[in-house]
Amino acid sequence: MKNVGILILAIGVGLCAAYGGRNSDDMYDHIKLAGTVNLLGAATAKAKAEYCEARKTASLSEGECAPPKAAGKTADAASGEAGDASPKKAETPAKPTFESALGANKAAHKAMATTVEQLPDAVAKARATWVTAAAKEVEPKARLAAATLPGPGERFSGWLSVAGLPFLIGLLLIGAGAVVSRKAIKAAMSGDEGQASAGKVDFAVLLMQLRDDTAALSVDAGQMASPSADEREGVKARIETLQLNCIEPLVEARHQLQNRIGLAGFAAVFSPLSAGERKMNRAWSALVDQHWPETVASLAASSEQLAVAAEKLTEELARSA
Amino acid sequence: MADNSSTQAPYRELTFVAVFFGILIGLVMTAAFVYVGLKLGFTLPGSTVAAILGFAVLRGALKKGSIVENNINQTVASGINNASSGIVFTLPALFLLSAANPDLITVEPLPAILAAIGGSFLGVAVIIPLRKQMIEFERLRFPSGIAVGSLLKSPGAGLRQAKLLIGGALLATTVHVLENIHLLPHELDLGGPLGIPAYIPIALYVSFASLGAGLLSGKGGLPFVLGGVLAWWVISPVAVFNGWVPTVEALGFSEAPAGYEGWSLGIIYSEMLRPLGIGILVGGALAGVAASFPALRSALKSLSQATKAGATGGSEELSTKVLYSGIAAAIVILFSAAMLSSGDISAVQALGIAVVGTVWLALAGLVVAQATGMTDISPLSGMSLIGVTLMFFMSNGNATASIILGVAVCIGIGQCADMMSDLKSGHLVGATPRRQQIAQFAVGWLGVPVAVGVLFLLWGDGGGFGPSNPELSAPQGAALAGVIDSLSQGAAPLDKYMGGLAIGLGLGIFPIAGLGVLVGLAMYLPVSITLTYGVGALLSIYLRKKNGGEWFGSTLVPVAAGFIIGEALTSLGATLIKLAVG
Repeated sequence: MKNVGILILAIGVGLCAAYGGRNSDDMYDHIKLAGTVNLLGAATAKAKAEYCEARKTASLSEGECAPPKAAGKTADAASGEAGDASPKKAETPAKPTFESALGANKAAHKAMATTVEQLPDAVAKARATWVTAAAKEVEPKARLAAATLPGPGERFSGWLSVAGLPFLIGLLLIGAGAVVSRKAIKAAMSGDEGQASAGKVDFAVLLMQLRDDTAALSVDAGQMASPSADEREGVKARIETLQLNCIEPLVEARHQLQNRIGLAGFAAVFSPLSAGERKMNRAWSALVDQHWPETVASLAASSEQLAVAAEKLTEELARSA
Repeated sequence: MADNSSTQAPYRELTFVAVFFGILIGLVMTAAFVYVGLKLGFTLPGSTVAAILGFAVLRGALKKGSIVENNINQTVASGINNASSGIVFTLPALFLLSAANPDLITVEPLPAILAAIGGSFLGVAVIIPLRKQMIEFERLRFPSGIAVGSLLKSPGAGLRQAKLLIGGALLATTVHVLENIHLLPHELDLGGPLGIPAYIPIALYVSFASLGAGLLSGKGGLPFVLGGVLAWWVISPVAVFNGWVPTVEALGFSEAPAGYEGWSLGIIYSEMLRPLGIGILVGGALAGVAASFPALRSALKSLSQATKAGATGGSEELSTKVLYSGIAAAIVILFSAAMLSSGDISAVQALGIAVVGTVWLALAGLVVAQATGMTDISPLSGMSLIGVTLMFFMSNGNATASIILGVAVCIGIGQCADMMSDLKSGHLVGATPRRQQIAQFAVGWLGVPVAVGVLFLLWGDGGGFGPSNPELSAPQGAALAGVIDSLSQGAAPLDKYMGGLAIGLGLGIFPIAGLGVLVGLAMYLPVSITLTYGVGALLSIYLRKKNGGEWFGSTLVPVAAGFIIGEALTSLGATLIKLAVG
């Protein structure tokens, strides 16, 4: 059942995400227009670069190829395309009409096309290609400058009308798949609890073992007033063994515990358990730093916290039973 | 290492030297990384650098530093350095807009500094109850936190583990250097040579840090990979096949113009996947809060008990009083910053901005901390973008107020992720969370005036940075200025945010914690990063199954930590060399 649930969920997520990604028709039209302008602009820029290269080859001055001054934006700079990162006005400028933008663009292009400069053939040809490419931009740029981006509300309602139904179906499938998986996983976990399956950690047994071993270690360490290097190494090895053989498996088995005693009960147990773990980590650090009093104190604190965790676990297990 | 036992001196942790040295490293990194961010568009994390310098100074030169003391030093340094990314991603936009509209927009340092400091405090405050939830209950991996923890523990981890850590770091360094001198590509395109179309990208990001993060995450990171698969191998081809991305013909061309492929991929990413991914991230985080409410309540209860214990000096946690006072103080600071930012903002509006900003910061901080904890990848820019958008609408389209408050949000959520990662390192070495939090609270804000000051210094009389200045193009700030401009034309993708939110909430029902956050995060990133991470996660599962848990801890963890440390340090070195060489 778990796999069936995951399959339903996957179909739901795919459907939802695919239709969630779809744009409203208005937005699609805007993207299309911006795309045309963007790609024509790229072609013009390429043609200009070739023209500039031709000038350079012919040892002419930079002329029209000189970098533009930072100030003074053209009308089309306010098209608001994604990725255009020039500093533009924060306040909405008055939108030009298509006719006024077209007129301005035509005039700009006419000025650009007219040149009094005498150019060698190869350069003149490259310039003509650039001017032709720029001519193709005149009308789409004017349309983009005059176009209005659909507002958030329009985008949302437009999207609902083209993608709402499949999206909703996908969302229902996500819910259904998740519920089926959740139930299947829960049932499987309760089944595991009933059987002492191999490889599964008995959380209670392991926690009690950790509590007892830590308490013993704490007592042993407390009895060493000024331990030798070998004795310190022995304590360090015992800490590392507890971290590896008890704490790690307990942490790995946390979902099993959560499922058994609920999230609040789990938190009640894991809070002191984690504090005990942290104190044991501190004892390890203090050992490495050769600070024996802190090692002893941290082991005692760890032991105390683990005893609380064990007590809480007993309470929670009794409550859940 | 000096033997302290003979003197019975307290174990060194929150010491003047650790804090002072952390402040020093943090301030230098902040100033340097603001410059780096303006030039290259990204900043660098400071924890690894601070931990290594801490070793050199505290343990090497001063010969008295402890492991947990170095953890405080690294916590302080990275907390201060957090301001560099928070400021450099947002505030330059205001400078650029003011240059374009000198009569409408002016840049005043005071509101920006106030807002940023408020964000810094709030970021540390809201994370207080989440430490238990994320580190102790959910056991999020925080790969960079583990890497720094491994580094801090290296003096006692034994020669073998030290060799593995250094070996991993050297391998990552070698590969990263080869990339930087263009002997290796940044990305391996596997799909192109097989004839697979560009809209179904199959590529690997050549990054040992991403691989290392995947190795440390293991099976917990698999949903992240599935999110990438969903984005680029399901949504992208479906969108192309259905004509939802304008075809060559629809654009009015008879044949594909140069750059069409790149443009269409850009549209799929920027107009579909990214905003949808951001929505899923938020929805996933909300679902996560709802699902883990009993544990969160328990964490708050435990903090309340800590408040009582704190009176007797026995507490290891900051109390709920600090949380509530931090939130209240942040609201007051954000209110003041909103009032000071523009004369057009009314008191009621400023209050609304402060409250909504605080709530959003807390939620976004949770998202960023969770994403960082699961994958080591932070969706900071996306969350900040929504923060700026919210502020933009709350302030009736006031660009100045929205950016100033956006600064607070960006710094605050950065603090959340940074604090949580440092707390993870702290947990691994047995540090006291309360002391780490106190240190970050006390000095984490110090980076703010430095970062703002560096910006003003570099701006000079105007035009010191921005797209017209090839030396310092401020790409992130320029992008935000573009977004503000688009917002002023009503371009917020509400449909994608709402759709994503619904998907994220739906995924929250599935019994895998953080599924929505992982799927959303993957949709928000290029597929190559996700796939490299996925290779690491799959490799980790295989190796753990083959060699067992002990081998994982003693061998794979130091190697993977070395990968992350090696690449982080090489990136820093490469960046400094690039800046020096020009």
